[in-house]
Amino acid sequence: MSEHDFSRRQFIKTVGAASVAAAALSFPFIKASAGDMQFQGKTLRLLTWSDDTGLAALRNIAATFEAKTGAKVIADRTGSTSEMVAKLKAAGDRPQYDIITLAGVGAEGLASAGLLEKPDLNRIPNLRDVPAQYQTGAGGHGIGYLLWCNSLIYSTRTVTEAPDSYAALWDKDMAPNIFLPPPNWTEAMDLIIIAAKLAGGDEHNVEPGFKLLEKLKDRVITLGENPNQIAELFRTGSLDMGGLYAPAFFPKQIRDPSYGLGATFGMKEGFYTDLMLSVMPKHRPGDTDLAYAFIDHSLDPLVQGKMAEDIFNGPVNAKAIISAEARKSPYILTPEQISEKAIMHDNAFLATVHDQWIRRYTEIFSS
Amino acid sequence: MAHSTLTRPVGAAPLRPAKTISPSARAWLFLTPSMLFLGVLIAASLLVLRMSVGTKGAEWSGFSLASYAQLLEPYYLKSLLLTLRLALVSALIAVLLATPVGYCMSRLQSPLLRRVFLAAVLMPLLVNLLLQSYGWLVILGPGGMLNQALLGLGLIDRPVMLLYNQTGVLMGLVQTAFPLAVLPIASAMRGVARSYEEAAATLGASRLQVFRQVVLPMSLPGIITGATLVFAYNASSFVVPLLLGGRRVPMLAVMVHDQIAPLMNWPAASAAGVVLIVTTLAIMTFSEFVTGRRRRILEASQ
Amino acid sequence: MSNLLKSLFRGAAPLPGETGRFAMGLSGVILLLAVLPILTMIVMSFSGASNLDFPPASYSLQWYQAAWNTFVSPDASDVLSLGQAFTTSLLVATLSMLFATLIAVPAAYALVRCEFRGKAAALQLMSLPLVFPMVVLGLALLLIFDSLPFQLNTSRLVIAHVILALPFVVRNCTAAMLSIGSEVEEAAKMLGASPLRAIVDVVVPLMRSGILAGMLLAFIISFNEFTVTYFLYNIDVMTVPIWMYSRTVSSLDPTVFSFAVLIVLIDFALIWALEKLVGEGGVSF
Repeated sequence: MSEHDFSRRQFIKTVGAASVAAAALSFPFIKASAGDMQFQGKTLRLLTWSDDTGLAALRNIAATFEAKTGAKVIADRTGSTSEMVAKLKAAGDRPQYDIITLAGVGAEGLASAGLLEKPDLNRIPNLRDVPAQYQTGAGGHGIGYLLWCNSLIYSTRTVTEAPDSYAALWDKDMAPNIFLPPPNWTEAMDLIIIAAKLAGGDEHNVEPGFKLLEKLKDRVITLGENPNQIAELFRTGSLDMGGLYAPAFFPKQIRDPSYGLGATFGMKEGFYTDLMLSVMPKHRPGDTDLAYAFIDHSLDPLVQGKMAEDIFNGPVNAKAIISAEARKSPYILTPEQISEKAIMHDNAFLATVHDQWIRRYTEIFSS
Repeated sequence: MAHSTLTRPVGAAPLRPAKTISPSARAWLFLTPSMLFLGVLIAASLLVLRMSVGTKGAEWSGFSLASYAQLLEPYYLKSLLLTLRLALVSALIAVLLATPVGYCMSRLQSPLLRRVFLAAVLMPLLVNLLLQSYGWLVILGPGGMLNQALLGLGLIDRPVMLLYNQTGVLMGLVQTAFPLAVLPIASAMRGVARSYEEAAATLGASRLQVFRQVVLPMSLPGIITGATLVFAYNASSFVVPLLLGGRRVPMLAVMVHDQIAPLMNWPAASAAGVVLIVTTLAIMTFSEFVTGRRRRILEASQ
Repeated sequence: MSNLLKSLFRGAAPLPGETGRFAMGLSGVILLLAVLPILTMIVMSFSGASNLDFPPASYSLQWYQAAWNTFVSPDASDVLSLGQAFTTSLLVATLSMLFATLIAVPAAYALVRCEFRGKAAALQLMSLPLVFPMVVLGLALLLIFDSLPFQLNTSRLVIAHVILALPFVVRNCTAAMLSIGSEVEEAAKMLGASPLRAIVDVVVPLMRSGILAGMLLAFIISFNEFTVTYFLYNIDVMTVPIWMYSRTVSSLDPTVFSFAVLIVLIDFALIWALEKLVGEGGVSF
């Protein structure tokens, strides 16, 4: 116990020292390339999410970046509608943004339409500390930014012990009223795979999974399109459990006991993650050096740790600095937990079955 | 712009403009300003039509009817029927509820009361539906006021699900489109001169008879307009099934959304859109044809 | 039911042509139901708590204060302040209302009074924006505007909103015109008015309530439109619904409710102003 504690503290110390050193090293690096406050007077146009993750990105990434480099970050926070990717694709070669943060599926759509520039990885020094599988996505067109980690959400009032398996969703006594993700989300695709695995199949043999999902139909209150509605349903005692859903949707409500909202990553099957990417459109309006500097800054160990603590996002940087206090929280994921239990879904494979699976899922849960 | 076309003939031929242009030309002259705007819409429609016979990834160069063939599958047919049914029922309910409200509005004397009525009628259109959906949740949700009251009174054992199913969607459709039904009805009823009512009453008709046999038939155009507006508006509804249906009521517009993003299959979305548009327009035309004939007979008999 | 109705209608004393008490009561109840979710929202905007508990345990103006703060001291990181979005929205909505009305009145006249080739097609075209799934329309319009050799910003929003509002305005105008009867116009012509004079001086004033209804709807539709606007806005031109969207997804606190209450108030002011402007004791309905 104490030994374990010691080693953990030691680890934090080492990581802390390393990152401070890295920060100290990287700062002169920027300085050396063009002098202090290199981007004074320049503007970066960022499209990010409108949810709390987007808000936290402004706080923890954009604000610190502005302070460090003198650049101005203008953020459009309407990027979470599903129409956004369609809009970007339609706008084609007239992009309004320098950097867009979005999910892997969306990035792949834009990349296949030939709208994205393939970034030069050598210009992003912090990528060194990012494990290979999280470095890039969408065929090298996107730089890993954070891991969207999906949990089981449960009511701390009616479910006394955090569930340790996805099978809990099928436990009628434990959770009479449940919610599931809406069919158009990748979370639903992951849930289908989970159900298939629970029923003895896998992603290439999903039929048993659909059969298993059918059993949930009568207990499903809603397919949660709107996180705030879901939080309200938990607060008013109308839901007992649900998922897959990211606790990153509920950073405030989880901390507020009046919601009775809990989330767990502790399922023995592991937890599913979606790699969120930063992409650079071709023909962007702004400065390229600035865009690279921003992406690099978003991968900074301090910034990554801050994002994890603030809104429960999974850090991609293996050296992300997470305080000892935060490590105790069941919602804040550490790089170690991620490397142990995170399952990343295969966007390329999902693209081939997406249409059919959405249909089946919609049909099963139609009221 | 519109104004200039409206007044130009006066300046050009102030004496006898009617003789210089044929009625058909005059009609199109009146329609020109709106056609300038609708031209953009026509272009958009053609674009959608072209996309609907394209293929995913080659929207402009490919050609395939696969997207239409796909719509014949039960999944889409069921959704189309559901959409039309919900739109139709919501239009009937909305008109039924809007008729007394429209009548009252058309007969209100006090300006203050009239403004309050108008404001209340317009409110469902004014407020973002996302915000209204929280209002519904508070009232009708499983843990909402109504359920708590019913549970408290011992009338039910477990909450009645009024949201996240077809009931919830139907209610939302009626509520959000309600102003569209009330306004034309009120407008038409206002056009029915009060003297007709007085004449009928003098001849011994009861108030209900006056309403049913004089006011109602005479304001039929407004009522039909209201019904068609609600029907058409709701047939392409997306936000209501999303927020009040808990995504469990697969109306066609929701599927169109799924195809646009995340599936990025624009041909499929366009084809579904085209089918939805054509079906809705056909039903609207049919109902207007039927009721239009009745109206003409009615007008002829007056 | 019908007997009950009858007796209630009879039981009410007022003169024929005035509203019976029963009809008033019924309408009141129906309207109350229609605005119920909004009323709860308004109550919640005065909540003293930070969640959506209803009825609120305590009341305060804290959310209005928070809303005011965002208005006067916007986040530096925001693309556009609420004030700018608000100005754009008002401008776009006013222009859309004016254009839609100016083009809809002659169109309604042509559709009601004239028999001409292509009338059926014109009628269908007028209903088209109504039945178009918004997301498809938004996408198609964006593709069209982007293919133009020149860049439109605010004007493309106005064009889109006029198209969206047109069916409502045209229908309200046609409904009003249908119930006027062509004899009024003919009488004016017999008295020596030119056909156009007859329309402008006689028919249009009689249509006033329908036109007003259409104008109101056009303004409201433009002011609140989201989906199509979402495709067409850009980083420099943003409307209030877009701005609100970027706020409501995160942190749903009653601040957004107080914004909505403000929007309702604006629309009320508009109703009042329109009635005053048109005069004659404020004839709108």
